[in-house]
Amino acid sequence: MKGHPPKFWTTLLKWFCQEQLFEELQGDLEEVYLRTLRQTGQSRANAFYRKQVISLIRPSVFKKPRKFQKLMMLSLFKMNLKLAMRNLVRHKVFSAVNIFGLAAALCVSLFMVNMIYTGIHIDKQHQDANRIHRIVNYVTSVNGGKQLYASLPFQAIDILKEDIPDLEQVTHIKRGFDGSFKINGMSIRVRGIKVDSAFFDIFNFQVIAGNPLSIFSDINSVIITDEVADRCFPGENPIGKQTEEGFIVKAVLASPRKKSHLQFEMIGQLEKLGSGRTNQNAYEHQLTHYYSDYAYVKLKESSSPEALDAKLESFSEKVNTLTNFDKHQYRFVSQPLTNIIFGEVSFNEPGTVVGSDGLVTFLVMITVMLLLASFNYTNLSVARATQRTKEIGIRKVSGSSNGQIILQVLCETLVLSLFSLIIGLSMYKAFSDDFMTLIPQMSKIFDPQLNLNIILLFVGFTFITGIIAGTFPAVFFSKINALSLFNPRIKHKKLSFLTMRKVLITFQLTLSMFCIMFMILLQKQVTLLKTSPKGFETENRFIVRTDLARATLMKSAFLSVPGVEAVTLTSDIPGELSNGGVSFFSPVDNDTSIIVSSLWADEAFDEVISPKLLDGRFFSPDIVDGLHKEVLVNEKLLNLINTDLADAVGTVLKDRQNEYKIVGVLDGMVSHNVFMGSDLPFMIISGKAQYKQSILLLKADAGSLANTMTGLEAAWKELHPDDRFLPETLGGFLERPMLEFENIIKVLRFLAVTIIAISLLGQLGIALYNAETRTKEISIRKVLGAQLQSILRLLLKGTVIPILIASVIAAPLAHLLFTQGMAASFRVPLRPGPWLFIQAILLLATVILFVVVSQTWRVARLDPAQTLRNE
Amino acid sequence: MKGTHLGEFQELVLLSIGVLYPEAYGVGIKEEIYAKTGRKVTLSTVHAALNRLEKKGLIKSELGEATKIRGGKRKRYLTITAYGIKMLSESRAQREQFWNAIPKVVFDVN
Repeated sequence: MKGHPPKFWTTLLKWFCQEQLFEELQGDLEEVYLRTLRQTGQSRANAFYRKQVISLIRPSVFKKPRKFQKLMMLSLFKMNLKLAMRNLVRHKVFSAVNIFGLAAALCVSLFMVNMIYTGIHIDKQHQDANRIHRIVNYVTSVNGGKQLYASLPFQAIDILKEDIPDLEQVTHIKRGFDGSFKINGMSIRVRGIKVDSAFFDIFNFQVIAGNPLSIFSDINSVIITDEVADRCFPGENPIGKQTEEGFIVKAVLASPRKKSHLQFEMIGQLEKLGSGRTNQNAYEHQLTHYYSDYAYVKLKESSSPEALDAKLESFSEKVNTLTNFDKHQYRFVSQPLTNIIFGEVSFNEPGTVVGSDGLVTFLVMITVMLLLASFNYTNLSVARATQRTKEIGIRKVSGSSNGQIILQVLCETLVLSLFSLIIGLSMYKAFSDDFMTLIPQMSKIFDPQLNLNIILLFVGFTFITGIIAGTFPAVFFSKINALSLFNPRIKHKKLSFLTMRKVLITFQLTLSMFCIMFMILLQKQVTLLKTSPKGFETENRFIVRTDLARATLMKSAFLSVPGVEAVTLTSDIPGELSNGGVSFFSPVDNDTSIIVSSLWADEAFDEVISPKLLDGRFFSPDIVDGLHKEVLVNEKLLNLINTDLADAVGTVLKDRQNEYKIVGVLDGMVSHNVFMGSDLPFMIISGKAQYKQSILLLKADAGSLANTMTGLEAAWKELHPDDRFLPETLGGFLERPMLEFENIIKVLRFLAVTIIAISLLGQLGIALYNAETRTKEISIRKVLGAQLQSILRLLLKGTVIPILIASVIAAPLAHLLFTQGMAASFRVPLRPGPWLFIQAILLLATVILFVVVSQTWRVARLDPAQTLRNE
Repeated sequence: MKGTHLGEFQELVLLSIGVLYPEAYGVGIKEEIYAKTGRKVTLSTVHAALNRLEKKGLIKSELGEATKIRGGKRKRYLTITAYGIKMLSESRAQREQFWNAIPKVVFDVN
């Protein structure tokens, strides 16, 4: 710019120069600059100016550092604290609204923080944990499906040891070594793994009793965890106890729960060529068993994960050249031990994994919660700004710098968030036990024990939240121009902020609306699932599990108990069939075999659970348990074999030995629980339960259940003197998956209620604020003749419009997410009609309007003569 | 003692303020020194000297009116205080004493 000294240098001068010197110094410089400009031109003048500014960089000109450093800061801080407390006490309602809102959000976040904290510390206790890796593999099948498996073909583990020199230790872990302890006539299942001796070189699980290595010298010995010991042998020495399978406990380890991603309750030893490898043929020719074996390795100090991955590359090629029955392609990669918990989720995980998705979910939850609470704070404190501008203005006039104002407001926020933390922590304490029992899946990485680190983390977390919530109001306050406050001619620039506030309120309401809609939809879905017909009776039906040897005897013993109407022996529980089970050749083309779910039952089957038939009859009473079997099928199976209902009865399905003759078609009998999607084809096969389990289904007379039960127990005791009688109701058993689902819903509901509560608190705050600040305006309106109605309408306009906008946004969103994401996986998906959404909108709107009207009503009814008396 | 001693450059500045009375200010002093002694000094040097002199109480300052030539910035006008005058005259008297004490012969020789 001509005629003006270079801007940059002027700004620089202003930046470093003491304020009281700047004017004269810059004036002097500019005077000479202008003269030089006239005499010798722009560039010379600029050069002169530059040189002069640089030469002014000297101590006498420089800004002095604030002299009041420590002492002043301390007293300022004390004053800020005092001011914060006073403001808290003076605006009790505002503070309460903010504190409770923030406390609720903090409480939820603390749960998440705890889980993330616990998750991050998982598997850190092992010595050299950063050198421990897991070898996992991407399995590509012939049809092109590619999946990450945590388990590998066990042959690969042996080659691994020989092929890769970078590995200091390799341990082979085999899953599926389950056992049970018989305590008081009840079998307690214990989930175990088998390991080789390198396991204890790589992992450091705390030894509580005995020597874990002793299991390798004695084939018939196992290690159990302290948790199992406490559960099965409270107050006793667990060493020397025996499992039902005959293994003897030699040592006790601390439970890996919440300490390691690897989960086990019992450890057995994996001998050379142990289970699964006895068949030499399978060992050499098949690479197909990749479901239960895991490899963990410890790298040599001189090696690196990159070098390992490079070697695994050529290792994969080598494995893929081996004879491979299924023609699967394996690509092996390493996974650092400490990354497993929040890493890529793979199939066949041997324990707890949250995965990166889980981590992201936690973080999103935390962010949403805290954002909501922060919105409230920001909204309310800036709404209060109009009341506090005078205070800030006076502070500014008497010499507060922007920094000091920001500090004061932040201080207030921090005091407030500390209060919230105290309330949030006590809420957290109160809920943490419920949380553990409510959702066992989630509580796997939740440690209810608070230690100093976690508390410090919480405090730090709260401070960060406070700073985030407080920064906007703080900057807003510090930007207040003191002059404009006292000079009515200068207009306030508040428009942009008002719009922002509206956007925030609408966002909050939209989220609440979404939550309430989703919860109502879920609730309706649950009712729908619960009442969905099963196609058979469950009332007064009981399940008793026994074994094949005693099943027939047991059945006749039960039948003689008074009150028992019918008993049937089955292999599975109707309504909860396992996948697959029976295969036969397709009647369409005889080469392909079809596998369907199956249930073996005897002739009394229809008497006990009373299913309905579309066509045909039930089993004949005198069926022989031979190769020719009678079967009942469902319509899905008819579709599968391309047979019409009319032709179905009499059709014979064959496999190599057996013939299955369809005698009846079942009407609407379900095969699986409601979460498995659509029904599967299945058949009920006449004959004794031949597979897996022997289950007795009973139909009891509703009249004298208690007597019947005692009778049943007596009959049971005669044949099973060592086992406890543990009947289950069929209805209760079939509802079990529902309970789990309902627990998840409980958690979701907790979150939704928190979100809605926070938004409601926000609405309450704004309503209070409006009521307080608009008293005079309303009184004047009344004096001028406004009716109560029109005043209420005026006051509610600001609430009703955001509610409408929120409804318009939330309804389609909830509909889409529910029907696409949630309901699609159920057998009977809810098809929500508009009425459900209207219900949700009305519900939320009523609650909000109630909160708002409770405040505005008071103001609208005020006597203008009273409020305007002193004007 | 450095605190009360009047440096050579400071003395020049002080004298210039006297010469320019009542309109002595940064740029004026700088130019006066250049005109009388041919020494090119930066404003920064002058300012530093003024700063010290003011601290010693030898000069006092007040802001003048805004002028267009300086982009609306005001000048700081400097005047010598009574103490400043005393220092100047003391310094002059000291030199006079030296001058008077030099034997005439010295001047003749050279």
